[in-house]
Amino acid sequence: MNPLLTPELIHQADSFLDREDVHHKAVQLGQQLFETFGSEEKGKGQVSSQIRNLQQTVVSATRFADIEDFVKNQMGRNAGPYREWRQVGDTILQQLRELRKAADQFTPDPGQRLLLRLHLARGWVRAVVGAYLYAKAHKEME
Amino acid sequence: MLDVPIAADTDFGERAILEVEQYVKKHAAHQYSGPEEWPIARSQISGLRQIAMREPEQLKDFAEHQRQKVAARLEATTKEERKQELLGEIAFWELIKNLCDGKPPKTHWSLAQAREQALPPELQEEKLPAGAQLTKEQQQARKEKQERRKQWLRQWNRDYYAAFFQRFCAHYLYLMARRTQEGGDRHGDCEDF
Repeated sequence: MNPLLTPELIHQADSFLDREDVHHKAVQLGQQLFETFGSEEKGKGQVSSQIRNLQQTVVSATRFADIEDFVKNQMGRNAGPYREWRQVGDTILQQLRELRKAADQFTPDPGQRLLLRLHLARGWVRAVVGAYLYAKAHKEME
Repeated sequence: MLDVPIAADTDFGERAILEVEQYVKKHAAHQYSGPEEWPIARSQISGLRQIAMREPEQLKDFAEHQRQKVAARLEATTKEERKQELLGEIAFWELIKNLCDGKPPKTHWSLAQAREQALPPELQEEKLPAGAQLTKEQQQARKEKQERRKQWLRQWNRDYYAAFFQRFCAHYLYLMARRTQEGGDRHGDCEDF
């Protein structure tokens, strides 16, 4: 097992994220997250703490399951913005499944797959949060 | 044996999800309309997760204790509908016990079985022949090996029980949310996030 990502694998993963359909789905999700969570009311239009939590979870995760479990836990709560999470959670989980599948296609090595899944997730969340911020900026310019 | 993050992402994670799916299909598929009616409440799932993470060695006893409490309620119940609900609860705690240390042929997979397979050969327990005499050095070496084994088992439990039951509990709560309407009760919410 070689737990290192080669430049080729990174390139394959980045090319996957850049694919028109994949990027489009991430952007749509970011817009949906803005429609669902909006901005933080108390903080004069700051980014929703739910979006920050999602981003933080993805960035700090040491296993892909942590990201999936975060979404499931948020959906499974009965306090806080659980209703909102239930509106968007399945779309997020579906996109995460697609990332997992992509990583499996790029390498047979379990260690590399793990790193690749996390690499893909970080690229994905950047696109999602970017689209969220863009939608938020648009709304503020109205 | 796979590293913990890989196992959580693959074998163990998939197994945890499968076990929840099978349980829910059998015991909570259609008959519950709200989360408060599900066989195992959020607070109990939260407790299960906490014990798996902090005191994995206690998990089996915790499940047995919960099972006994439900069994006592079952004894005192005359309503048929309630009996079915309680049987669903008992099945859940039996599942947890089996996941902890179920043995073949009744149980094909359990954490105990996975741990046994993962135990390095140099830490396997050696049985001494009857009447064997050990020198002081041999006794000392044996004692040290037992200590290493104990530490290894403790660490394995901490890592893999947590990985397994994190997925198990998250998926249970997820299914509870998906298969029921709005969750209304305010009791026992998980405050992990």
